[in-house]
Amino acid sequence: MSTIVPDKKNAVGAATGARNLAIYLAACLFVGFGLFPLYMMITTSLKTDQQTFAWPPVWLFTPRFQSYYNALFVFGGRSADHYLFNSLVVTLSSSALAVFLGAMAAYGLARFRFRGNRDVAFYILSTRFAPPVGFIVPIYLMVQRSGLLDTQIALIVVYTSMNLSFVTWILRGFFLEIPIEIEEAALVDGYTRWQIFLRVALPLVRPGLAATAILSAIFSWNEFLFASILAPGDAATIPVYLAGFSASMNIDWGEYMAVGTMAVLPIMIFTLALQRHLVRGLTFGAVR
Amino acid sequence: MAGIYFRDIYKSFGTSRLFEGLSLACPDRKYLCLLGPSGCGKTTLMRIVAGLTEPDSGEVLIGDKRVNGLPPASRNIGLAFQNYALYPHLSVAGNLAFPLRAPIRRGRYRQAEIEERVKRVAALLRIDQLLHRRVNQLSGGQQQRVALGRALIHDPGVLLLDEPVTHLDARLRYEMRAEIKLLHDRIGTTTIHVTHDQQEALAMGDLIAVMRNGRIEQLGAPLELYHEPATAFVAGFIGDPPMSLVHARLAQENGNTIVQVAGSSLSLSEALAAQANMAPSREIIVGLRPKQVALVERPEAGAVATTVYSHGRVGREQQLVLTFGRDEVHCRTSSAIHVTTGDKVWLSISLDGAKLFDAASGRALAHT
Ligand SMILES: Nc1ncnc2c1ncn2[C@@H]1O[C@H](COP(=O)(O)OP(=O)(O)OP(=O)(O)O)[C@@H](O)[C@H]1O
Ligand SMILES: [Mg+2]
Repeated sequence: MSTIVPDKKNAVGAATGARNLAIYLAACLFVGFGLFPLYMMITTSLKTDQQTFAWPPVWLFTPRFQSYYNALFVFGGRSADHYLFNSLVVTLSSSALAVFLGAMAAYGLARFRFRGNRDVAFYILSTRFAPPVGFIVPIYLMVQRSGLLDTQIALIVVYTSMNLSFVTWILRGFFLEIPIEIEEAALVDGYTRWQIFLRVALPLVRPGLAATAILSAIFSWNEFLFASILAPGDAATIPVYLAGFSASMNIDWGEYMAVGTMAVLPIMIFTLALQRHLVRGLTFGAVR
Repeated sequence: MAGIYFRDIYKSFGTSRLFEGLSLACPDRKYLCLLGPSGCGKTTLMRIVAGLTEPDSGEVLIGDKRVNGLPPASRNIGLAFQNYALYPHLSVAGNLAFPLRAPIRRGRYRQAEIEERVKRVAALLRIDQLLHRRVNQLSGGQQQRVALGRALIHDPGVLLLDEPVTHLDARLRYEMRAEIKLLHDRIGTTTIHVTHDQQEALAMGDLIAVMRNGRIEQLGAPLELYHEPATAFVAGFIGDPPMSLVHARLAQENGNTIVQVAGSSLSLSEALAAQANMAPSREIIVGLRPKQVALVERPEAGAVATTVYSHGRVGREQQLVLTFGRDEVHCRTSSAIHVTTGDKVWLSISLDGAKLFDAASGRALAHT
């Protein structure tokens, strides 16, 4: 009896071990598949042209930062840092605006009963039904008439309005999860609605704020279509600048990849920094 | 300081009507215990005082001020929620200080005074070791005490406690009851304390209001409710064990009024007979204290045959629950008598000190 049980246990252990190994391998493959382009981009930005086009590929080499130097200081006209800065301004402003305005809208939709509450909520979501190309012409005209063509403000306004709908929807769900008694307690304790929103509701939906901030920022950072049409020149963002590379006849691969790497880094850092706020269950166990 | 007054309150939730003309007064500086079974509307009544629920009609007064429509913040109330409703993103200290930092009290407390008060309240409620913990790392009883502390830290004009000690262990419950009572004696804040524990109400209340289905059955001092229950419901709710309620019929025998219970006839004292004659119908309910019933060895005149439903030890005695017909009778005997569930036993009933109620309305039959 006592000898059978451990045997059985080992057999089961081996089976789960093999299973785990398979899952682990599959995960590694998947991660490798996802990260390989990133790896290629970063290594290429650090290679010389010869190393880039060598066959068989060069796996080990001494990195050099000449491409970065060229992209930032040597190229004629505006250099990469100008467009990176544009992207940063547009992304941070539009995400902050979208999350803050969206949070207020979501709180209103979650907490106040008024006629057409559900209709308003649905309308807000429906603004994303049409593909963006569908309304690019009217938006272009509006921006042009208001004299905002090729300005950061144009992009900020457009991105904010595009992000607002999903920010509102996601945060509405988060607000609905806060037990109403917590806010009632604050009402009794002497707080106004606005202060309850700021000091009770917002801190309690922090994971939602982080999630929507990340999603809005990624969208604004990567958006190409509107950026290329509304701000093709001085106010261009980094995707538009990058596209300019592939349009030219012979591509400077090292510099291209250097700018690409610099374009990925900020949004990666932003996402990683906010990620730790994505913990769930802050309000769990708040009321009996 | 101010009394709390309800005048002719109506409140429905959808189609279900909860309050239909409820009136209740808790005078200034009194400690009122609101006692009633689950779902009778105790929490709703508290929410109406706090301004979290508006009555459909009727007036609520705090002191001599009509507060209908006034926002909760400007009612100067301390409310301990039944389900605590603590702020999960704040520490215990943060929760306690929250009312003091409210914009409506801006400039009234300096930072040092806030800290001082938090410490004092925490010590009073024995949570001073926990001040820096997050509230969702606390046990239920600890959370309950934080909720209580948050309700009274800003010296509110009236204090509303919705089952403030139910989730504490027995010893802590006694301690907290004593602390709350002491605090009330010292400061005299008008307090409404919700409970469904009649012992707690008897121990703490200057006044007790017994509620049932959105109505006030009786409002009175603890002893008044104990000795002179206005309805059979109150009689069956108060006391440990409460009065046993037995359905009976009034009859006439040789010109005297008698009571027929489960086939036995019991005679009434003169005072009780006078009461019985006031009865609107022949069907009555007799309220009996445990000491008015006794087990007897064999069927004797006036003894009632009953069945043992349950039995349990209480100190040196045992408490029996006996059934006959649809009624239950509580009775105490020496634990030397051995019975088991289902046994047939005989019960002699003495009507001295019994209460008589009209069976239809449940109202006590008046003296006069
Ligand atoms: N917001 C609401 N919507 C609908 N019905 C409600 C609402 N609030 C309370 N009720 C109903 O009103 C009645 C009284 O509820 P209340 O919470 O006041 O009871 P309670 O006496 O506090 O009970 P307990 O001892 O269980 O806390 C219940 O039947 C409840 O279902
Ligand atoms: Mg309740």
